[in-house]
Amino acid sequence: MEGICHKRMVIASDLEAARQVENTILDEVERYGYSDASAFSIRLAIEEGLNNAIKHGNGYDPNKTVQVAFAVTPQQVVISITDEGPGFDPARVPDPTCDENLEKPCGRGIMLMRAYMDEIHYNPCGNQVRMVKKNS
Amino acid sequence: MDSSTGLTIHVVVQDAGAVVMKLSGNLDAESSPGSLPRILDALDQSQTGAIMDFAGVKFISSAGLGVLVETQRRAQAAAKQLALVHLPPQLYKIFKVSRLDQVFRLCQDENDAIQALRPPPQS
Repeated sequence: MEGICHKRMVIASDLEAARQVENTILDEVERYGYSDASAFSIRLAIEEGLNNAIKHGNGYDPNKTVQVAFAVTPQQVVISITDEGPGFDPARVPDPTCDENLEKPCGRGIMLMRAYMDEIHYNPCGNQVRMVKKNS
Repeated sequence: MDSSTGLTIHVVVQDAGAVVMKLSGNLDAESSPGSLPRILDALDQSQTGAIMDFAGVKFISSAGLGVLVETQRRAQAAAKQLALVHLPPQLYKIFKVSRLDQVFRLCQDENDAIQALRPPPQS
Protein backbone atom coordinates (compact mmCIF):
# COMPACT_ATOMS: atom_id res chain seq x y z
CA MET A 1 0.00 0.00 0.00
CA GLU A 2 1.37 3.41 -0.94
CA GLY A 3 2.62 5.50 1.98
CA ILE A 4 3.17 2.58 4.31
CA CYS A 5 6.35 0.67 5.05
CA HIS A 6 5.42 -2.66 6.60
CA LYS A 7 8.14 -5.22 7.20
CA ARG A 8 8.89 -8.30 9.23
CA MET A 9 12.44 -9.29 10.20
CA VAL A 10 13.85 -12.27 12.08
CA ILE A 11 17.25 -11.69 13.67
CA ALA A 12 19.77 -13.60 15.73
CA SER A 13 20.08 -12.89 19.44
CA ASP A 14 22.94 -10.43 19.14
CA LEU A 15 23.27 -6.68 19.42
CA GLU A 16 24.83 -6.13 16.00
CA ALA A 17 21.77 -7.66 14.35
CA ALA A 18 19.63 -5.47 16.58
CA ARG A 19 21.45 -2.38 15.33
CA GLN A 20 20.69 -3.33 11.74
CA VAL A 21 16.98 -3.52 12.60
CA GLU A 22 17.26 -0.18 14.36
CA ASN A 23 18.86 1.40 11.29
CA THR A 24 16.23 -0.07 8.96
CA ILE A 25 13.34 1.35 10.99
CA LEU A 26 15.05 4.70 11.56
CA ASP A 27 15.67 5.05 7.82
CA GLU A 28 11.90 4.83 7.29
CA VAL A 29 11.23 7.21 10.17
CA GLU A 30 13.60 9.72 8.60
CA ARG A 31 12.04 9.21 5.15
CA TYR A 32 8.62 10.10 6.53
CA GLY A 33 9.92 13.31 8.08
CA TYR A 34 9.44 12.55 11.77
CA SER A 35 10.98 15.12 14.11
CA ASP A 36 14.38 14.58 15.68
CA ALA A 37 12.70 14.19 19.07
CA SER A 38 10.34 11.50 17.73
CA ALA A 39 13.21 9.70 16.00
CA PHE A 40 15.19 9.78 19.24
CA SER A 41 12.22 8.30 21.15
CA ILE A 42 11.74 5.55 18.59
CA ARG A 43 15.44 4.73 18.59
CA LEU A 44 15.45 4.51 22.38
CA ALA A 45 12.38 2.26 22.45
CA ILE A 46 13.77 -0.07 19.76
CA GLU A 47 17.08 -0.36 21.60
CA GLU A 48 15.40 -1.10 24.92
CA GLY A 49 12.90 -3.54 23.43
CA LEU A 50 15.48 -5.47 21.42
CA ASN A 51 17.97 -5.50 24.26
CA ASN A 52 15.32 -6.92 26.60
CA ALA A 53 14.38 -9.57 24.03
CA ILE A 54 17.98 -10.61 23.35
CA LYS A 55 19.29 -10.41 26.91
CA HIS A 56 16.37 -11.26 29.19
CA GLY A 57 14.09 -13.11 26.76
CA ASN A 58 16.50 -15.24 24.77
CA GLY A 59 19.44 -15.06 27.18
CA TYR A 60 21.83 -14.41 24.23
CA ASP A 61 21.07 -18.00 23.06
CA PRO A 62 22.40 -18.21 19.48
CA ASN A 63 19.74 -20.84 18.69
CA LYS A 64 16.92 -18.43 19.51
CA THR A 65 15.73 -15.60 17.33
CA VAL A 66 13.87 -12.32 17.77
CA GLN A 67 11.00 -11.42 15.47
CA VAL A 68 10.44 -7.77 14.66
CA ALA A 69 7.43 -6.46 12.76
CA PHE A 70 7.00 -2.80 12.06
CA ALA A 71 4.79 -0.43 10.11
CA VAL A 72 5.80 3.14 9.40
CA THR A 73 3.21 5.55 8.04
CA PRO A 74 3.10 9.34 7.93
CA GLN A 75 0.86 9.19 11.02
CA GLN A 76 2.55 6.69 13.31
CA VAL A 77 5.15 3.98 13.82
CA VAL A 78 4.08 0.59 15.18
CA ILE A 79 6.78 -1.86 16.28
CA SER A 80 6.30 -5.37 17.61
CA ILE A 81 9.19 -7.36 19.14
CA THR A 82 8.82 -11.03 20.05
CA ASP A 83 11.41 -13.28 21.69
CA GLU A 84 11.50 -17.00 22.37
CA GLY A 85 11.75 -16.67 26.13
CA PRO A 86 9.16 -17.69 28.72
CA GLY A 87 7.95 -14.12 29.09
CA PHE A 88 7.52 -12.08 32.24
CA ASP A 89 5.00 -9.93 34.07
CA PRO A 90 5.91 -6.29 33.42
CA ALA A 91 3.74 -5.23 36.38
CA ARG A 92 6.22 -6.98 38.68
CA VAL A 93 9.26 -5.06 37.44
CA PRO A 94 10.33 -2.64 40.19
CA ASP A 95 9.87 1.06 39.48
CA PRO A 96 13.41 2.37 38.82
CA THR A 97 12.34 5.92 39.68
CA CYS A 98 11.55 5.03 43.30
CA ASP A 99 14.09 6.40 45.75
CA GLU A 100 15.27 2.95 46.81
CA ASN A 101 16.00 1.97 43.17
CA LEU A 102 17.55 5.18 41.89
CA GLU A 103 21.14 4.04 42.33
CA LYS A 104 20.67 0.58 40.86
CA PRO A 105 22.55 0.13 37.59
CA CYS A 106 19.78 -1.82 35.79
CA GLY A 107 16.02 -1.91 35.32
CA ARG A 108 15.23 1.32 33.44
CA GLY A 109 14.46 -0.08 29.98
CA ILE A 110 10.71 -0.64 30.32
CA MET A 111 10.22 2.65 32.13
CA LEU A 112 11.97 4.50 29.27
CA MET A 113 9.89 2.69 26.64
CA ARG A 114 6.71 3.74 28.46
CA ALA A 115 7.95 7.32 28.86
CA TYR A 116 9.01 7.84 25.27
CA MET A 117 6.34 5.96 23.30
CA ASP A 118 2.64 6.81 23.09
CA GLU A 119 1.51 3.23 23.64
CA ILE A 120 3.20 0.07 24.89
CA HIS A 121 1.45 -3.27 25.37
CA TYR A 122 2.68 -6.75 26.29
CA ASN A 123 1.01 -9.97 25.22
CA PRO A 124 -0.42 -12.14 28.05
CA CYS A 125 2.72 -14.24 28.51
CA GLY A 126 5.04 -11.24 28.26
CA ASN A 127 7.37 -12.32 25.46
CA GLN A 128 6.03 -9.78 22.96
CA VAL A 129 5.91 -6.01 23.23
CA ARG A 130 4.00 -3.76 20.83
CA MET A 131 4.81 -0.05 20.78
CA VAL A 132 3.26 2.91 19.01
CA LYS A 133 4.68 6.39 18.40
CA LYS A 134 2.46 9.04 16.81
CA ASN A 135 3.99 11.53 14.38
CA SER A 136 3.41 14.72 16.32
CA MET B 1 19.98 7.19 9.46
CA ASP B 2 23.06 5.45 10.77
CA SER B 3 22.82 4.66 14.45
CA SER B 4 26.28 3.10 14.37
CA THR B 5 27.49 2.45 17.84
CA GLY B 6 30.69 3.35 19.64
CA LEU B 7 31.86 5.82 22.20
CA THR B 8 35.07 7.82 22.00
CA ILE B 9 36.58 8.98 25.29
CA HIS B 10 39.25 11.67 25.34
CA VAL B 11 40.77 12.04 28.80
CA VAL B 12 42.50 15.22 29.97
CA VAL B 13 44.15 15.34 33.39
CA GLN B 14 43.84 18.76 35.01
CA ASP B 15 46.43 20.40 37.25
CA ALA B 16 43.99 20.37 40.16
CA GLY B 17 43.92 16.58 40.19
CA ALA B 18 40.66 16.15 38.36
CA VAL B 19 40.17 14.53 35.00
CA VAL B 20 37.93 15.68 32.19
CA MET B 21 36.45 12.96 29.98
CA LYS B 22 35.21 14.31 26.67
CA LEU B 23 32.75 11.76 25.34
CA SER B 24 31.47 11.50 21.80
CA GLY B 25 29.24 9.00 20.06
CA ASN B 26 26.69 6.67 21.59
CA LEU B 27 26.53 5.19 25.06
CA ASP B 28 24.22 2.29 24.32
CA ALA B 29 23.89 -1.46 24.87
CA GLU B 30 26.60 -2.23 22.35
CA SER B 31 29.19 0.31 23.52
CA SER B 32 28.54 0.24 27.27
CA PRO B 33 30.41 -2.96 28.21
CA GLY B 34 33.61 -1.66 26.62
CA SER B 35 33.15 1.89 27.84
CA LEU B 36 32.74 1.17 31.54
CA PRO B 37 36.33 -0.01 32.20
CA ARG B 38 37.76 2.94 30.25
CA ILE B 39 35.65 5.41 32.21
CA LEU B 40 36.57 3.79 35.52
CA ASP B 41 40.25 3.85 34.53
CA ALA B 42 39.99 7.57 33.89
CA LEU B 43 38.24 8.10 37.21
CA ASP B 44 41.00 6.15 38.94
CA GLN B 45 43.58 8.55 37.42
CA SER B 46 41.98 11.46 39.22
CA GLN B 47 42.69 12.62 42.73
CA THR B 48 39.57 14.66 43.36
CA GLY B 49 37.08 13.46 40.77
CA ALA B 50 35.99 13.62 37.18
CA ILE B 51 34.05 15.85 34.82
CA MET B 52 32.22 13.96 32.09
CA ASP B 53 31.57 16.21 29.08
CA PHE B 54 28.57 15.00 27.06
CA ALA B 55 28.65 17.69 24.36
CA GLY B 56 29.54 15.09 21.72
CA VAL B 57 27.18 12.35 22.85
CA LYS B 58 24.24 11.77 20.54
CA PHE B 59 22.45 8.92 22.27
CA ILE B 60 22.23 7.17 25.60
CA SER B 61 20.10 4.20 26.61
CA SER B 62 19.39 2.43 29.89
CA ALA B 63 22.63 0.48 29.44
CA GLY B 64 24.52 3.76 29.26
CA LEU B 65 22.74 5.08 32.32
CA GLY B 66 23.88 1.92 34.09
CA VAL B 67 27.49 2.73 33.20
CA LEU B 68 27.11 6.18 34.74
CA VAL B 69 25.44 4.86 37.88
CA GLU B 70 28.31 2.42 38.33
CA THR B 71 30.82 5.26 37.79
CA GLN B 72 29.05 7.34 40.41
CA ARG B 73 29.11 4.41 42.83
CA ARG B 74 32.86 3.99 42.26
CA ALA B 75 33.45 7.71 42.76
CA GLN B 76 31.51 7.77 46.02
CA ALA B 77 33.39 4.72 47.29
CA ALA B 78 36.68 6.55 46.63
CA ALA B 79 35.41 9.85 48.12
CA LYS B 80 35.68 11.50 44.71
CA GLN B 81 33.26 13.86 43.02
CA LEU B 82 31.62 13.32 39.65
CA ALA B 83 30.04 16.05 37.54
CA LEU B 84 28.27 15.77 34.19
CA VAL B 85 28.39 18.77 31.88
CA HIS B 86 27.03 19.93 28.52
CA LEU B 87 24.19 17.43 28.35
CA PRO B 88 22.27 17.96 25.09
CA PRO B 89 18.54 18.56 25.71
CA GLN B 90 17.45 15.06 24.65
CA LEU B 91 19.95 13.46 27.03
CA TYR B 92 19.03 15.84 29.85
CA LYS B 93 15.41 14.74 29.43
CA ILE B 94 16.41 11.09 30.00
CA PHE B 95 18.03 12.06 33.29
CA LYS B 96 14.87 13.92 34.32
CA VAL B 97 12.54 11.09 33.26
CA SER B 98 14.72 8.57 35.13
CA ARG B 99 15.02 10.91 38.13
CA LEU B 100 18.77 10.52 37.81
CA ASP B 101 19.05 14.29 38.01
CA GLN B 102 18.66 13.57 41.74
CA VAL B 103 21.72 11.29 41.70
CA PHE B 104 24.19 13.15 39.47
CA ARG B 105 25.60 16.66 39.51
CA LEU B 106 24.39 18.02 36.18
CA CYS B 107 26.28 21.21 35.35
CA GLN B 108 25.69 23.90 32.73
CA ASP B 109 29.33 24.45 31.90
CA GLU B 110 32.84 23.46 32.88
CA ASN B 111 33.18 26.25 35.48
CA ASP B 112 30.10 24.93 37.31
CA ALA B 113 31.54 21.44 37.09
CA ILE B 114 34.90 22.54 38.50
CA GLN B 115 33.06 24.13 41.42
CA ALA B 116 31.12 20.89 41.92
CA LEU B 117 34.37 18.93 42.20
CA ARG B 118 35.56 20.98 45.13
CA PRO B 119 35.18 19.07 48.36
CA PRO B 120 32.57 20.42 50.77
CA PRO B 121 33.98 22.84 53.36
CA GLN B 122 35.04 21.35 56.67
CA SER B 123 32.72 22.32 59.52
